[in-house]
Amino acid sequence: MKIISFTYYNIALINAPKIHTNLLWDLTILFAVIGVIYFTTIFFFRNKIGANSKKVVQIKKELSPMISEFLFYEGEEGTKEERRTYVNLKIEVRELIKDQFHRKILSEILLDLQKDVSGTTKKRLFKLYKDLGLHQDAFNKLKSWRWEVVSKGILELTKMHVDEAYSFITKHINDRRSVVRKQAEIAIVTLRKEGINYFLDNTRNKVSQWQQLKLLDVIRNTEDYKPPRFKAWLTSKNKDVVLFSLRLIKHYNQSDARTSIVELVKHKNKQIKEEAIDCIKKFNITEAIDVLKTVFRKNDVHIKLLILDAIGSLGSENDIEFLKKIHKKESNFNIKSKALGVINTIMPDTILPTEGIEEFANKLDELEKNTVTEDYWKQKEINVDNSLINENDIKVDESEDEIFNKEDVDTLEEVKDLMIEDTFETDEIVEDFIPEQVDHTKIDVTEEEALNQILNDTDIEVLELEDEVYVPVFSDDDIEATAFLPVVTAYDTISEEIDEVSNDVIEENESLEQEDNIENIIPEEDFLQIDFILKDQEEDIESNPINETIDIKSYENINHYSSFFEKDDYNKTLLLDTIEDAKDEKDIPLLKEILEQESNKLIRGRAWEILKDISNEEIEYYRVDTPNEENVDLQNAAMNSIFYQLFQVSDHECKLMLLDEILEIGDAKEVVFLKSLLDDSNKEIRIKASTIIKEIQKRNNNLEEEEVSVEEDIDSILNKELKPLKAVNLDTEEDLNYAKEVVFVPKEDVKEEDVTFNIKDSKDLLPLEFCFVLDSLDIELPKPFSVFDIDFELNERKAEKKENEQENTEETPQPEESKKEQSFIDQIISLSSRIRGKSNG
Amino acid sequence: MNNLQLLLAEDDNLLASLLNYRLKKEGYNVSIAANGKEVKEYLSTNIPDIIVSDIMMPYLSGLELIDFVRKDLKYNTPIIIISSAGNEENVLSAFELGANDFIAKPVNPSELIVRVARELNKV
Repeated sequence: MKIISFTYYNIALINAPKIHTNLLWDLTILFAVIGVIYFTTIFFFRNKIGANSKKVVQIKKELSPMISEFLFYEGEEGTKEERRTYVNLKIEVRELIKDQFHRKILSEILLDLQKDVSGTTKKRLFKLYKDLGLHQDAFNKLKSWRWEVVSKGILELTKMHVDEAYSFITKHINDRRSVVRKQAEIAIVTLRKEGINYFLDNTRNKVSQWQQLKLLDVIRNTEDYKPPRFKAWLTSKNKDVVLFSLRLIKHYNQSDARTSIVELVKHKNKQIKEEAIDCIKKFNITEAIDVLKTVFRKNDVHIKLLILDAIGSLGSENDIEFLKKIHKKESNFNIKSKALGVINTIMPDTILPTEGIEEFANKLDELEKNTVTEDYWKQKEINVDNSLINENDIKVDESEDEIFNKEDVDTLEEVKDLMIEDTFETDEIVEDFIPEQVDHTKIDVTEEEALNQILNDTDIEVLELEDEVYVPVFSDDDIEATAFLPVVTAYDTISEEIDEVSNDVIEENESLEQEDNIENIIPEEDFLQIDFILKDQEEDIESNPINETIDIKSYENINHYSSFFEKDDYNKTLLLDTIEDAKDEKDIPLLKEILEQESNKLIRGRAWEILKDISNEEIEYYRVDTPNEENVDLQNAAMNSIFYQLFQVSDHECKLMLLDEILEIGDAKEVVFLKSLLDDSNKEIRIKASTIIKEIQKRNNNLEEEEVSVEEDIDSILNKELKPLKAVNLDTEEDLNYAKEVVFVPKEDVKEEDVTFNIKDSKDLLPLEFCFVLDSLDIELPKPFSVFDIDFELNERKAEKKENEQENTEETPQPEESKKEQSFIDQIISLSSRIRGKSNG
Repeated sequence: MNNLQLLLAEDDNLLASLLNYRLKKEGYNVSIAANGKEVKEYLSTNIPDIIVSDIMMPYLSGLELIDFVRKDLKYNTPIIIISSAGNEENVLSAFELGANDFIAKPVNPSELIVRVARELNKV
């Protein structure tokens, strides 16, 4: 049963306490009563205060005229009626002030009015206050135990200038309650002139800065005040009294306490020291300097700065040494700077600024020393050799009288600056732009003679520059007609001039050596000492500050073509493209060099093609040594392989991966490219290429014919030792054989205009049965797509095309040419209908 | 002086009462305005011979009062400004706006009487 009862009775975990309804009512009533009492009290006091205020205002309004009457009563000078009124008012006021409330209001009125009136009215007001006996209330307040009441009593007596209260208030000068004490201090100083003396003599407590200011304000506003000699309190044991005394001494310019003030510099208190130093400065106490020096080191930075400032004001030349020592020994930056400043204050311009000052004077001296006059320039003899144009081998013959100071000018930049200032007058410039040396036959000629010889022997135009310097000038056509710009353009005309002058001297050497055959000595490019670069590359050079200086020695290094062979095949190809676009005859030497030295047959072939385009004459000259056209065509065919470009930019791993891809998707076109890889420097690539060639050839059903030759190739490749790249020369016959091996299309079928290897040409390689089928069905194999021949056609346009075609077939018979133009897939699709049509006749 | 009208604009009742008493004693017919509203109301119906005004007043300051009298009402009535010491900027502004004289607080009633008489004599 118990179990059942548990089933039917819920057990509440948390039960709200049951509160008796009566208790709630009781509480409600209690809080309601409290609320009522609270609000009733508020309203009661509010009304009481409001009524009181109104009553005060009313009483003030009644008393104001009475007070005015008392204040402006003129005594016996007034009329009888006025006197009678005055007497009546006095009786009335006496009655009123019997009430404490009225006394309080009357006191308030008088305290308020004393703020707004001045002169005789104010004095009458003070007198009225005392006459009415209101000060007695203030005295009573002084007896209160509450500090605020006492303070109010003192304030009231002070404001109403109740002099009798002085003795009562002095008792509170050292009151333990600070508010009372401070109020008493002000009252004492205010009520009597000697109050400040009493205060300074007797105060034992701290006097705050604010309190000092208030006391000073009281003293300052006191009429006919004669301040005491405040030096008397410099000996006080209360440091605040000493400090206040120093300030009062400073304020009232009491300079009779010099010795005491100097002594206070040694005080432990920082504020007293500051005030003492300030007084020393203000009163010009020069005898304090020695003391200031003595105490200097024991003080903190702030006091040290003040002492230095004081020494600056009072010091003499005798103090300079002290200040210099401070500058040397002190570690603080401010003190060091201040010491220097004080030295200059005492003796102006003793210390001159040194930080961040450039030494222009020395530079100027050097420039003056090294300046070359025009006479020197004309008389100087130049010893040059005409053998090689190499700066290392060139020296300038120094005259005995004039010594070149090469160390003075380290960089060409400095030379340029000097040249801007004064053309070509410094010997540093001469040193720099005159090519040096020669160890062969030295021929001494004057510069003018050399120039004359050059003019007579060459066609080079000479420009007179600054009457002394002659530079070769190239006509604009020579430069602008090409896609290249001379490297000597450098960055400004000065650099150009330097280089041109260098060239000029080189030309002098040549003219001296061989008058009749200058051009044969130096190649055209070298003779001009100008390197041609691509316009695009010119910008890079300009942006590179290293190229600012034109260094003849680095001529070979900055020759971009000389670095052609250091580039990889891809970049070589790009450069050849650029040369082909430019079609400049000046590239012919480079192309010749490529033909001679390039190891890659494809690049050689490309160079030969470009060379053939640029100059017909050169073709004849090089035709003998160049590969035949067939071979070039084959090479171009290899380069047309999509894998060629990728292969050029790939690393070894990628090349192997590309070869795998060629194995999967490559066709006969790739075989040409693969054959070119049989000369690759990497053995793994050679083997893999040969294997792939084999596979592709198998795939093309041409295995029996080519297998033998390929195997021979493989054997020969595996056993072949690779030649160094630069040692590989173009061998025409070998290349021809190579081409025969590589091309599985009969070379007779290769036409010049049909460079790309296409499937149409490979039709011969297809099974004869398949070819017959194609012919019988009028199906033409599509031309292979090169990479850039891919054409996209919109579906909508294609649909329109189909519709048009359908319309055309309905209206007119389809011409034969249009059939050929049909795509291979379309032909396959329409194959069944064609067979049916043919069978039906 | 029996018929001279003087407008005293001062919000401090005690001082106003004191000065009123003193000025009346001198024979002026004094009207007291405790704020700017009362000043405008008075000026809308009366034209005083001289105005003595405190600078700091509710609703309408002494500067605004000068501006109102000079520009809106276009009166040439002499105006003497009462200002606390150390308020020189307001005093300068008052003179720029057209105030005739200035007296500092705490006011010496005798001095005020002299200044009022002087201004009235100018007129």
